[in-house]
Amino acid sequence: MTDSLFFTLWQPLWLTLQLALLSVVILLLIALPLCYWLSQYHGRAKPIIEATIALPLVLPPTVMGFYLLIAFAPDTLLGQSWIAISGQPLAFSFAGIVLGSVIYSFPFVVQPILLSFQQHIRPINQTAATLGITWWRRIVFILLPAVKPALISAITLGFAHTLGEFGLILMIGGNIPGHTQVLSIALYQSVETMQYAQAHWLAGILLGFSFLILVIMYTYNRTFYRMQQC
Amino acid sequence: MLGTLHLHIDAELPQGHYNVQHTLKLDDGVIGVHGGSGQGKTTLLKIIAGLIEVNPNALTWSNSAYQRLSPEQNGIVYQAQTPYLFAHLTVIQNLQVVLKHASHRSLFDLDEVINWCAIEGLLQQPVVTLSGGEQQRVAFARSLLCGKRVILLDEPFSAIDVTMRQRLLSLVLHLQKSTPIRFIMVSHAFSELAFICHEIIAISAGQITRIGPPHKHCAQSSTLTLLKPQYIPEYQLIKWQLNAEIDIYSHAMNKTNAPHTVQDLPDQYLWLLSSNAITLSYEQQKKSSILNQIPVTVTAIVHSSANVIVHLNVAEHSILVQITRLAYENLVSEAELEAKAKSEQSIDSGLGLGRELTVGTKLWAQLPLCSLSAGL
Repeated sequence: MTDSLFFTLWQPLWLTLQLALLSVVILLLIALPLCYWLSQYHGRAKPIIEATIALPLVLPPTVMGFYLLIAFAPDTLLGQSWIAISGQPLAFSFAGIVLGSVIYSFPFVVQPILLSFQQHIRPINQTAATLGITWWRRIVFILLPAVKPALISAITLGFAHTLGEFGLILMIGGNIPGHTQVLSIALYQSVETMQYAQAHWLAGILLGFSFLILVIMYTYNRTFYRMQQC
Repeated sequence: MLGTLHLHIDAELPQGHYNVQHTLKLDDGVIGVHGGSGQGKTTLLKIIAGLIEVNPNALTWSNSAYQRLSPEQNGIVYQAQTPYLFAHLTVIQNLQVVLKHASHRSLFDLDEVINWCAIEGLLQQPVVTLSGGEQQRVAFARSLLCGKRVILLDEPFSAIDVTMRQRLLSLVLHLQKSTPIRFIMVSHAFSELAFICHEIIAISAGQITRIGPPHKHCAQSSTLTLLKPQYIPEYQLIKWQLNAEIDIYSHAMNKTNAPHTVQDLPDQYLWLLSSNAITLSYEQQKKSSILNQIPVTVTAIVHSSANVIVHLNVAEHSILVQITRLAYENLVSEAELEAKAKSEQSIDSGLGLGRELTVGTKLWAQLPLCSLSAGL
């Protein structure tokens, strides 16, 4: 592999990893409290909230990209506040594609956690409370360890799904090397410009990486469930 | 001393109207709650534990330290019939997590509780592999270790075999007597409550239908209240008193490695007698292997096509004996023959003018050996 090929591969790979890691961290920070609340909420708005969370599963990424661009256009209130916080417009920025990935991967992180919370929170809360264990100790020492397989699934799915993101990033971030050119977009460009050697490397890295992550997830969950059922 | 808990529950619950007004004297002895399925026994325990919210001031304690506290602070632990064990942990981890994170300090050591509940062999197992009875034992150990002083047991030993159930019931009785732990226990098995409870509350459709010591709840069946147990090691029997003159023998309880031995017998025991396990005779059976034989007086005789039910009175207890019609006729004709023989012998004495079986007749009743685990 030549130095220039290594550089053209490394830059999008590093950017992709940063994007995926940052997105997963932000997603967990939002998803954990949201799921804790939603698993105990039984009001009328519940189906609407659940549908909103699931929307990215069914919508074409371009639809979400389009609405995000419109909503965060510099002449809107939302756009201006975004500029005030991040110092640059949403479009064509790394912060912009992080926001896009968070929205795009949201259901993949929320759903495993929500399902597991719905199963565990009520009995754990009741039992641990009557045994005299305070709220935060219940969460940290009993609930979170009990839902660990769901957390691992959420993290790996969120991470892997962000790796495979394409349409939304292209709409919001364009194709700026070092800023918004992630692996999937670098691959698209290599094919467009007929640089097939580079395209093979990029596609191979994405394939191998995604496969590895899924194997790790299934191996872990299998040993966990087997331990429970032995 | 925990003192007394006053219940003033008056609430509309999804199951229907719930109204319980009573004062529970927790220090006097184990309190039992009896009733059929869906009558509100579990609801009562959950209300006391603070897990179901009802009308304000539904619970007031004579000891103000317990007033209006949240379930994690209130000093009351509720143990469900199908206990929820933390499924991602092993048995020992389930116990350790409670010892480590519960706000109250446990009165007992981990090792002694494990020994009492006989769960040494289960410690390293994931809880999902346990049987229902094993789960109940682990849950009971966990309740003892959480440090709370009032333990509410909801059918705690329903899936456990008789021997182990008797052992755990004796443990409950022992802890109530010799430690500051207080118990309220729900069961649909009356004999279980009769074994350990000082007072039983019967609940039906969210209302109290009867309150009192165990014998008050069985006016319709044969029961004997046995007092002052005395262990006879030589024969491994327990001698109880029915009254100052009459003794009743029972089996000793199984020896266990728990702290409770025969010294920890209940002060009194309500013996539920099966009415067809009793035999009757005119004379005391002297040449016989029977240990429990008591003098009785007939108070009523009820005939049916196949059986005769003889109501008897002994030492202010009333018991029923069911015998077949054939056995009844044999008993009566035996009496007539005997009377005839006696009257021929002492024809002029004016004594023994025939003995018939009627109200007021004095008989002897032969009872089986009492078993403390009978009916559990």
